[in-house]
Amino acid sequence: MTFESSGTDGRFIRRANISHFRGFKDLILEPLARINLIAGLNNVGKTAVLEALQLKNMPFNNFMLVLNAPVRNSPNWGFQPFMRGVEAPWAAWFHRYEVSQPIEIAITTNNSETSTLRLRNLIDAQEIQEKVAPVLFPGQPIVDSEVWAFGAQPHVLELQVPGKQTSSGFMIPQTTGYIIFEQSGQLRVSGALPQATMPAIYRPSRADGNPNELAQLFGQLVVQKQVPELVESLKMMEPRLKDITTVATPIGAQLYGDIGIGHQMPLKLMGEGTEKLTSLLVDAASARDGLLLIDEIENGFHYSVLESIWASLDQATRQSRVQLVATTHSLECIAAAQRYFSRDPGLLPSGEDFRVFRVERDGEAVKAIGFTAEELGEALELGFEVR
Amino acid sequence: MSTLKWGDASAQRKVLFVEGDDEFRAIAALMQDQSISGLGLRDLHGRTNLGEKLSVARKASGFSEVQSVGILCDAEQSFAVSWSNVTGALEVAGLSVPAAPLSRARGTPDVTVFISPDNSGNGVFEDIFLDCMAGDPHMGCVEPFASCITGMVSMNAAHESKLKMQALVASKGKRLIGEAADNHVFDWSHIAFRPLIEFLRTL
Repeated sequence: MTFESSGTDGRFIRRANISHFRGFKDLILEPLARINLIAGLNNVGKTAVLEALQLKNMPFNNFMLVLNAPVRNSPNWGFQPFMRGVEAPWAAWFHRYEVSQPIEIAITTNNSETSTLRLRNLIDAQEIQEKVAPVLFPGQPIVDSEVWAFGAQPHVLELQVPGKQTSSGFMIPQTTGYIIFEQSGQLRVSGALPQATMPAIYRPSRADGNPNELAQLFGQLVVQKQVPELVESLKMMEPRLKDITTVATPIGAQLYGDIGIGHQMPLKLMGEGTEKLTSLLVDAASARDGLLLIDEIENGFHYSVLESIWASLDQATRQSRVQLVATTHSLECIAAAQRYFSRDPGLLPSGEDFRVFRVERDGEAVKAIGFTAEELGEALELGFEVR
Repeated sequence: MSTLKWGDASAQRKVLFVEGDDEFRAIAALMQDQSISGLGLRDLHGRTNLGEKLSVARKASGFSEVQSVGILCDAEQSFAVSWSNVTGALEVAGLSVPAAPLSRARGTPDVTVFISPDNSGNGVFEDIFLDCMAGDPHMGCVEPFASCITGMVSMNAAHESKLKMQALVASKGKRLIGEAADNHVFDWSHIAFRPLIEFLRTL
């Protein structure tokens, strides 16, 4: 199945199995569609779903990118807060902080290809020594009886992608890499760190966007000649908008808009909704053939434009063959998506184009209950609560 | 009236699905009169696609808290067909299927079905109210009126019952059973309502 009827090789995640991560002992999301909304009560794990998908698709081989990736409105990947010297910086990733059990994030695409990322926090001093001593003390022999000086043992995260045979019979070997966090605060990597399964862009709910980064991503739209479409979409927020351009300023590249007042205006001053939609559409174009993860997608948008927002996002993600997974608290946002995707037959069969999942706690377990656009329409008409 | 949410304390454990707004209002009035509480009412807006509707209901937020489900449907022209439709819909939705009307099927949640008017014969919800109002003076006018109409227009028994009931409630200055129920037109202590009250109490 492809995103476009033209027969391009679009692929998307059909199933995600998240084990021992954040609040999830074991969560299965299936079948994921091209556009997915995640609803549910506060603190049930909506954002954690996005984090897990982001983690699975991290370019670990470029660890600086990982460290700089935004999450939970923090400037980097949630390595804080943690009790230095006591717990590993990644301890909060593990379910109930139980770092003795591995995290597993497995995704299966619409092509039935399954890929798993296994994260294991090494605890045994001997094993840590065997795995990381060659990195920390290159050229020195490993002595069996050697122990770390008190307080000197580093935290080590093992990242493993199990080997597998592809559908075409090609054998992919297992890869194992290590992230080493020394007590001094220095981070090192060793081994074969997992590569990103597909491009993934994550937008936290409230973090201030980086105008410089946005301007850089906007450049891709310029190259792809998609700026007129972007401007057209943004007119729902600012009807006077005629054009957008990048301006080099003392604080870096910034986006400015022409609203016909004889002076270009910084996009940031055109309101949160305009900036947010710009960001989402630019992200959609940038995550080509990958994944766009948006936390609290409705933030900054007036309810009356939500259906148009979905139309714009649908078009942008189709063009770039991007799968969208977004969280929301807003019934208006869900209803607007339902109206849009019910009206537009889409290119994929019913249920593959759009789906809403409610993540809910059932005792210790957390489960995801999916609704197609048709089921959602029925539920909304009957007044059933789906969030 | 039909905006009760699963999350409402009174609607969490027991839920009754009814076919339409008229039934919803009438049952709500009956429950109030009989001091029946802790039962959430849901309007299915018709019986079409009942299986799909119940499937969606099962997925709705808070449904996992529901312990007992009731379904109130009309037999219409065939009790057997209606019963078959309801049990088929329950199967589609993955809910427990009772062996017979008023029989409680154990499961998660339990399920009990009431087929109007009497869980065995053909007919509709309105027949219960016609039974209650049989001695009402206005029925002396309603019956000849219905005979006159059915002499001119072909209609089935269910349709005729609805015609009579609408004529009767209109004669009381109301438009629908639900409105009449809200305005105390019916004597809820009448024997005609006993099976329905018993059904509501045992959910």
